[in-house]
Amino acid sequence: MRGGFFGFEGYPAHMELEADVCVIGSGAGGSATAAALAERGLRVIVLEEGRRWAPEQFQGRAPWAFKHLYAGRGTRATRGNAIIPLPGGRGVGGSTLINSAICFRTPAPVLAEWRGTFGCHHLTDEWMGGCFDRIWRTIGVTVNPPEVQRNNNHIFRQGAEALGLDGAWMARSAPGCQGCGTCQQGCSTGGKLSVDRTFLAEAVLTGLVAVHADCRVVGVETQGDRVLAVTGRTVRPQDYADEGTFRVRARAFVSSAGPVGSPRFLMANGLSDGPVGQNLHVHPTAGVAARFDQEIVAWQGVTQGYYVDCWRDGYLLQTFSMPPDQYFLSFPLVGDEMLAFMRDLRHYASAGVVVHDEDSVGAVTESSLVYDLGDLDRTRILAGLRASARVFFAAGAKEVVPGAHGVGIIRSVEEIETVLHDNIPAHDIALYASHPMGTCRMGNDPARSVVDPDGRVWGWQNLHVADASVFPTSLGVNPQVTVMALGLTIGREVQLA
Amino acid sequence: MLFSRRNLLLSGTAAAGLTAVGVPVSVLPDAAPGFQLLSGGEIELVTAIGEAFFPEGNVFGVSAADVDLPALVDALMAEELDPIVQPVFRYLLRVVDAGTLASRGAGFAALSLADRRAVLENWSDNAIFPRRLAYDALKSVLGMAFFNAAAVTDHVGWSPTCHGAAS
Repeated sequence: MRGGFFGFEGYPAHMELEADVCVIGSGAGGSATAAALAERGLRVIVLEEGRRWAPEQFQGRAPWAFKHLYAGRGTRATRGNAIIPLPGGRGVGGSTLINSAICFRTPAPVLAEWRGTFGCHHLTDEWMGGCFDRIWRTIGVTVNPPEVQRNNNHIFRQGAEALGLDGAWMARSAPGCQGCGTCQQGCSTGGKLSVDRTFLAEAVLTGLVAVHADCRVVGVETQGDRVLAVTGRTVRPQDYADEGTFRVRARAFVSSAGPVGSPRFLMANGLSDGPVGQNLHVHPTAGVAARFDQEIVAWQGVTQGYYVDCWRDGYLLQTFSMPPDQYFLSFPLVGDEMLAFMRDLRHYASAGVVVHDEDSVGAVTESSLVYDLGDLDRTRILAGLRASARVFFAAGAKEVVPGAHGVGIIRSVEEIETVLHDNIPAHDIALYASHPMGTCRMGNDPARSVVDPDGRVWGWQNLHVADASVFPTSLGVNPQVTVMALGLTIGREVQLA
Repeated sequence: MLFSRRNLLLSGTAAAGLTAVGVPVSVLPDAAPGFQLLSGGEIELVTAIGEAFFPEGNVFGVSAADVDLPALVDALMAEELDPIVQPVFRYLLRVVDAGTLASRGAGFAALSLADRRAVLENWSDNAIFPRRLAYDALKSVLGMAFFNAAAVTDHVGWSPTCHGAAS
């Protein structure tokens, strides 16, 4: 085995590969796991279904990004008492290619619950603190300067400070951010440090890690309680159709295919008798847009730069911006009201609520994603929308457009409570979610979990999971740092057969 | 919000339901000359729907006719969206056209502009959930095509290149 990055163009009709450990997926979890394994001196093959991209290849348009950088070409969604788009990344770097680079340490109460209730004994404050320090160095976490944040973030900060709220600039893994506002279409300047350019690049430099893009894992070969090999198809980049075949033999395997891909890999191959696919959490979100007299031009500046901490109330408020087509799709105005909204788009700022979902019930099945928004979580979303509207009015907004069907436009702070009342049903809220987690829950009870505290799938000697699917509960903050920390942890614990 | 295949699939379910009660859904015809996917009849429907979303002289300032929306929808469907949505969207167009026969006595494409806008507005906030899904699916596809047209992004002042601190 030789280290490096490899892609479809160099593949034969059939590949036979061999390593100490095979990692399936190259996102935040898989990349950190590969780095930790390489530090142990192990030879690692990382398999990734998507392409490997260079920043200058990203084109900025949402349809292009959906086709090339998003799972299911941007069409992934849950069904239930509401329909919730649930995007995920596809490509070397996974969702870090398309996220807003937001970095939060795992909240201490969450870690305490994971240790106390689920027996995740590796996740001590001391160990996790060391992981966070390393992650901060590796992915260049910093707060971008005010001149890069631009109006959309400044105006929300202004309103939050006027109300005396607990707000701050968000730390981000984008030390070279130029404020392009295109994080979610791929960072074309390279200012964002996705894991393909940090953890994975460093791991490849050891000479022990080979990253094979354009490889979709399909099956496994097993013997007793050991996985011997994974098999799959190479993916033609022109049309993403299957082309050749491959087989990878290894002494251990790690699924880092994400909270949708990992449980489906286990289910499709009969690799778990536990509650695989259950316990789906997503951090449901919704947003508001606020019109100001002055131009805001939300898409200039950091995509998501400022937040207000309402974690104790079950949510965070965060700014966001999008390309114009996504504003049109996201806000449920109709007719001339919608066209006027788009006419005045340069005058609108936008922010929303990210909910720590606790009473919603979700699952990943082999063919669908199911998520019923719970009543507590629904009211948290509405509370967050009201809070966002208050912040914008405090900053001088003339009107606020809520992401909810049929409620109209809020024209004064006095109207907020009546327009965004607590009885708005889930299916009338314009929901969105990009943080799936929990579908291969970690724990010390095989009846309630899919992987043990080492990340090893119950019943298997050498099969592990390392991505957000192992979260025992919802997290409550943007998850990429926690995913990386768990990757470093599980990479340390992987057992060879 | 990202464009949702689920919207389209559920709209397809609605299409199947309407088919079951007598709305004719036939084999999808070949693409019209110069198009990759849309047939002549589908182009007519996309034109009618696009005009209802973005009529000439609208307050936004650019209309569907200004950007040749059917050609943009055709390119978006054929080149960028998940192939699974192609047939569903094309069947959805038929359902939209047939969906006004009973209530308004004519297919959608034959209605006046005011009636077409009223129909879409009604579907956008309809208690019948599949109708709203159909509306959302139309809005997703036509909206993505329209708001990525160069004339529209220029009008808004957005470009897919970096709009950063220096701009």
